[in-house]
Amino acid sequence: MSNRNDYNQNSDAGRTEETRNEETRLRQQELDRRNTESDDMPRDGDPFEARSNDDHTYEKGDMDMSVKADIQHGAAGHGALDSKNLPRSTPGWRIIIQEVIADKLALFSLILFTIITAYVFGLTMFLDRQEIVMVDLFAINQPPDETFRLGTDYGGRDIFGQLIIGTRNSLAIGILVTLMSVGFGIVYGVVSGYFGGQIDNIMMRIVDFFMVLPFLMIVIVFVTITPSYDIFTFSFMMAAFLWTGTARLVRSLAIQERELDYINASKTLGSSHGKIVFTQLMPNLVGIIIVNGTLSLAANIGIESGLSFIGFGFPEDYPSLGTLMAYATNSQTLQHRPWIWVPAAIMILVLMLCVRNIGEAMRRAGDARQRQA
Amino acid sequence: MLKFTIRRLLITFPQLVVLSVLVFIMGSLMPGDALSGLIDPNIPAEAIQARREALGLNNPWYIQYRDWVFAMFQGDFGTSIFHQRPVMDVIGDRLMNTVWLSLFSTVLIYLLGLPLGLVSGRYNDSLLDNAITGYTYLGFATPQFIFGLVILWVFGYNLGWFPTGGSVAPGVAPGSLDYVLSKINHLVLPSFAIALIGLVGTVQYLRSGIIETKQKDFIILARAKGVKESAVYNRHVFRNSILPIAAFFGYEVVALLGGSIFIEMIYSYPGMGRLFLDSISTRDFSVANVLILLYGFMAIVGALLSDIILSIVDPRIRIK
Amino acid sequence: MWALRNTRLKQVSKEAAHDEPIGNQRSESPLPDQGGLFFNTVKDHVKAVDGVSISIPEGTTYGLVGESGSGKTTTGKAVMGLNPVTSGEIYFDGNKLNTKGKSVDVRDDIQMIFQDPYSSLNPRKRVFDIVAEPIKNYHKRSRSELVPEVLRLLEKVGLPPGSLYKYPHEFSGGQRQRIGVARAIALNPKLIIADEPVSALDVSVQAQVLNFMQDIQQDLNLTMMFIAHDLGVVRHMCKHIGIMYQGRLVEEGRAEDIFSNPQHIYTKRLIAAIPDTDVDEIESNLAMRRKVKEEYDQNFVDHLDEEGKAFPLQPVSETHRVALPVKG
Repeated sequence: MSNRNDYNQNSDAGRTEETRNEETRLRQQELDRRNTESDDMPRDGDPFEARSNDDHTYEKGDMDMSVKADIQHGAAGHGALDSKNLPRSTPGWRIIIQEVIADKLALFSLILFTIITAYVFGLTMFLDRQEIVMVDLFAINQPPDETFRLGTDYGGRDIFGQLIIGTRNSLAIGILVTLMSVGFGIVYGVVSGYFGGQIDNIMMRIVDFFMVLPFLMIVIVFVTITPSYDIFTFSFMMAAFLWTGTARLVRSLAIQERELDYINASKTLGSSHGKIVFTQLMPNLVGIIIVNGTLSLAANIGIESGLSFIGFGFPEDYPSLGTLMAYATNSQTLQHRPWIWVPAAIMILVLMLCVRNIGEAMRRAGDARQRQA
Repeated sequence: MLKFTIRRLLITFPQLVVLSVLVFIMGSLMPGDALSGLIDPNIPAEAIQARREALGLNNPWYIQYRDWVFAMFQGDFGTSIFHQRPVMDVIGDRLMNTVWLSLFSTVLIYLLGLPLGLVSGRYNDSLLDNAITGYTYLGFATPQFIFGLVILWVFGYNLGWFPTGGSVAPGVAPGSLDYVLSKINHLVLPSFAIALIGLVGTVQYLRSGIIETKQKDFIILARAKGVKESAVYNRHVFRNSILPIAAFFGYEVVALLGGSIFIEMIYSYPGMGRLFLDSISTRDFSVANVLILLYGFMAIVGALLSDIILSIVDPRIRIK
Repeated sequence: MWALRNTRLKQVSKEAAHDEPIGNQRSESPLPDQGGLFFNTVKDHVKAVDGVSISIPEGTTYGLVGESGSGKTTTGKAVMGLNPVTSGEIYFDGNKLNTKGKSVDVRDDIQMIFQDPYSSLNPRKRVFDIVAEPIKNYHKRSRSELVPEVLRLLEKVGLPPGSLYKYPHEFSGGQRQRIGVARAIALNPKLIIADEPVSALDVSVQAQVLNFMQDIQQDLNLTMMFIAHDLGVVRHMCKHIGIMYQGRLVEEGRAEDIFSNPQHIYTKRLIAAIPDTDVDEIESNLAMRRKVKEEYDQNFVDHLDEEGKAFPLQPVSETHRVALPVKG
């Protein structure tokens, strides 16, 4: 192994154990998946059965042709083939969906997450944000009753409404941050890994640097000195520091992938680098990218609510789950008015657990040995 | 080994330079400068201009950057506008509190995390392991600040076992035994809040490491040779699995420092994280800036430390 | 380059030992030994291939034989442009391929068949996309024009039309290699570099694929560079043969020259190692093999220079050259 790899492997080993574990585990699983897929045997059903209804005549020396020659290779025939052999002969994402459905906990999480998402996004269309965040001094800190299903805060604002809007905002920011950071991380990692050499070297030194930055503090400063920001700029500020994990993971996968001959073949066939990266290499990383994105969504929801919690998310009239949690820094609220912060805490936990369960099930889908489907 | 260390050291220098440039740029983006706090309507504008000129605030940015770096090497980190004292003095007041908190949390993480991981890995799929795995599963999904709030609520307010804020009881004379006990008493909740969430990674890593090592050929060989089961674990499995954990020490401490912002805020613990939040809310950016520089510096050193330990522990890295 | 990347050899690079004006191909591949302190700078090179000169007449098959690590694949990939060439020239149809800067694009004239039929086909692409890829790159075709073209290619390599929308993992190794061939001939290339195309296949399938490749070669009047580690396979296929050892050619000539009159001890050993199915001659073959092995053990060192590499090639006859030490 060259020195460059030594160093990189070494910094791989650093960071938190979690990310490292994750990287090696995902990598191994991807390899396992490859191995199980690239068996010498054709996978299409029983070769003998296939032959019996096969009217293709074999030429001399075609002993190795045991695959079913379905003459009607139209859409219908192909579809039938797929549904028969789903787990093995389909692209990664179908296996992923299968696995999530087979895993009861993940399925439950998926349903719950979908319901929550649909509910908060649906309901917020009818809720009047202005009305909810309007201060009502006659209804301060009220415990839950008929008017306010979850009580009110120190400004007499309805907690239930804030919880719904907050969940929506937290989810939206979490998803946006994930899309931005994972998207950038993928491109960065693929470019770094695919081209290798000095490009990779420099790009990875930049990643190393980003990883030692005190990310939370810098985001706080940015939030403070930016005169005005919306949901996109705020997500961007977070994503600017959160892409490194994906970039490292994707890079390590891209390095393995580019050594495979299909990449060389594409080069000899005249495909440009861009074409190879995006149409040949990327599709092979899709499964892992989805898993990585899901798991980082869970983390990003936590980070966003943390930022709002210490008061550097959105202002109070644009609540997030962290904003509701922040009321609990007041000792009176923490002790005597749990209706203000406990629902938000539970919501954060439920969201993170749901997303994590789904992500873990997807991860297992990549590992043939652990598959439950 | 030596070559690796030197290479690794050389990489930290550009990191430090870029970090300082970044902090400098952030500093110049922040509103206010060294004179903002001194501005008095009675001082004529020309005098302020003269002061600006004298302080070099009108120089081009690279001169200012150079002066700034030189000043830091001489121990001058600027003046806090809010406190009207040198930044280093302000930070110095809080530094030890954060050091104690991190120290306590680190000790707790290893004290609790290692046994949990070892038990969980050795007796995997037992009832105990399931309980520990369930705990790490929840721990991964729980943001630290929620956990901190909950145990503050339960043990601080409802049960009243521990103080709910500050770093020491008021009115205790520094240096006395009571002072030390009070300090420790104040550290219990925040450090547990950090450690109980922070150890999750260590436990999981150790567990999977042990389970993996257990199936290695050299362990099977040891068993085949008739080595006692306890000796197999103590001498072979644990040693191989714990070494990498030791190597993450540097990263662990850095992660702790970063996470302590939440905990220091929840427990109104007068450490550097709390100081950072205060200085941001009072617009005392000179303090915030130096803190970012300090945290970044510690992260770089922590990463360096971990990488070097790792290169000692893991022969694959120092092969050249 | 990748295959050899982990080599731990360290050797300071030297100027190429000799020049061969008649050859139309000469390549060296640098393997950077990365040892810089801050950014990894290339300090010295390990030469994988050194002073190799080969010329292949149009419409013939040239066999490049050698043990693993002898540099035969590196040579093939250098011709293909997959490995960088430090010095020397590669000519194709009178065009120099490895000129710096703007190189002559002959990708559609030179194609490659890869060793591993598994990793050389993208598992996420259907056969249609795989075979159509080169056509799409060089010609603007609509999908409706592409389908019959791909079907024609599949027919040529003996795959049923039903394969069109299947994924590579639905095929066996031999069939996958046929897909690889279909892809390689899609652009009607003039030269095909076949990098051990059968060594990853089951023995039962090897002969079929070889025969079929020979058919294709004659059909399309292809020039072929056939890389193999097995002289027996090459004997089947090739008119000219070159034998490589440690990045250099040790012997080169027409197939008859090599098989009837091997000069270099390494060649003799390789030929002796070809299994013979003639039952009556088991004894004599065994004796012959023993004799060759003895000679090999005693004299092999004399056939190499002090670096353990082969000597420059000396002509034995008009068509036959061998790397023997210059006597005296």
